[in-house]
Amino acid sequence: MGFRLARTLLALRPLPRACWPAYDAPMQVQLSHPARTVEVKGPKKVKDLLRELNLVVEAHLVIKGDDLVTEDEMLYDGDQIEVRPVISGGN
Amino acid sequence: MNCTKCKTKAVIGLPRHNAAFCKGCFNGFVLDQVARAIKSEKMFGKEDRILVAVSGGKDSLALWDILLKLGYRADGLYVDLGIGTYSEQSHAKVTKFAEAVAASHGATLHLHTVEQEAGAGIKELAQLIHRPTCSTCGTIKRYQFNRVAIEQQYDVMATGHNLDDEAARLLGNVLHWQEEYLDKQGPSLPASVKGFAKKVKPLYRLSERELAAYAVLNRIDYIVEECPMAKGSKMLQYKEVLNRLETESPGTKQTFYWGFLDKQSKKQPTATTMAEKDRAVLHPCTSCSQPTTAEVCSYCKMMARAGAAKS
Repeated sequence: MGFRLARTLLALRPLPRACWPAYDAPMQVQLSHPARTVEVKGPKKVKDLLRELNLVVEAHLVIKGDDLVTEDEMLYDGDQIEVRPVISGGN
Repeated sequence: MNCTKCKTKAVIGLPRHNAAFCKGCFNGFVLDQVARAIKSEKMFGKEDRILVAVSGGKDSLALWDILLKLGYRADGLYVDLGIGTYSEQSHAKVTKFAEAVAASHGATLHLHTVEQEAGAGIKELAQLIHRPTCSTCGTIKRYQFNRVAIEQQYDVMATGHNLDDEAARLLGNVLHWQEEYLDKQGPSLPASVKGFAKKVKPLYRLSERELAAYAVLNRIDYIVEECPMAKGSKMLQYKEVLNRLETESPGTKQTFYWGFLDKQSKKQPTATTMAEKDRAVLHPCTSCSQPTTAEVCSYCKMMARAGAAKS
């Protein structure tokens, strides 16, 4: 019984994200200055997304949903991403 | 990428420190950097009353939050510059933080409205006196922060200037060889003469990106939008250049600014000489009594010019 339950649970476990079928909708990337949303095809690493958008890592944060993500994090189609500029100040 | 300290999933990488941190360890890092800045520059003690200049942006709200978390007695001062919806939004962010976070630490928020005293917002004032908006804004903010600090008997005034601000300002001063400004580029300026409050910059060890990350991770609701008056400013251009260098060569900004501070500290005992220099050239403004090098201070001159232009 215990073995059958374990086998069922094993079969039902989610597949790694990389094995998921591609979503039709690309990731939605919210940008500022001026505020706009662009669509980018995943999967893509954060650092590659910034490079593609011609943005400097040191001047931006990347937020997925509500979470801050590092440059090596993989982003996928369907993800809601905000690229937030961090530079401010006039005097 | 895993946290350098606890090996759990990191939320931010810090190439200049060759490190990455999870939320908990990053918060510890930020508080430690500020505590080190306060101690090494002898900024203030636990008994001192601190006035934090808050704008609604990430740096000043993060500074207020950090000082309260470190157990300091820090109140806030917001100067409403009258820049349309930008000022309305930033004022709302400051009020929200003051009520939701600062009040629970027993801290209060002071408010100064430029329009109430000057009869016009910053943009209109700058046009009246034919000066750039950022420079008019700087003069008004410096004057009002100092005035409130002195009148309300605060021991020290703290601003949210970060490593990027200081490195960009240093670059600007060096590019134009404005050597007379270099003495005042330190993170702790003494109350050199009567009428001047001591001014400190406890965030000078942290980059703008690190402070934005601190605000996001700690759910500090700040104004992300850039001040509409700052568009195309020299400071933003210097920051952009420095960030491109930093990305290629991590640590450039800290080597540049901290290296400068190191050289300055070896050159002369700045606190004494700066105070001596200030005492030699500063005296009370004949109109408002705040220290100035001229007969009438630049704030009073500005207000007089604006008043004359309006009538």
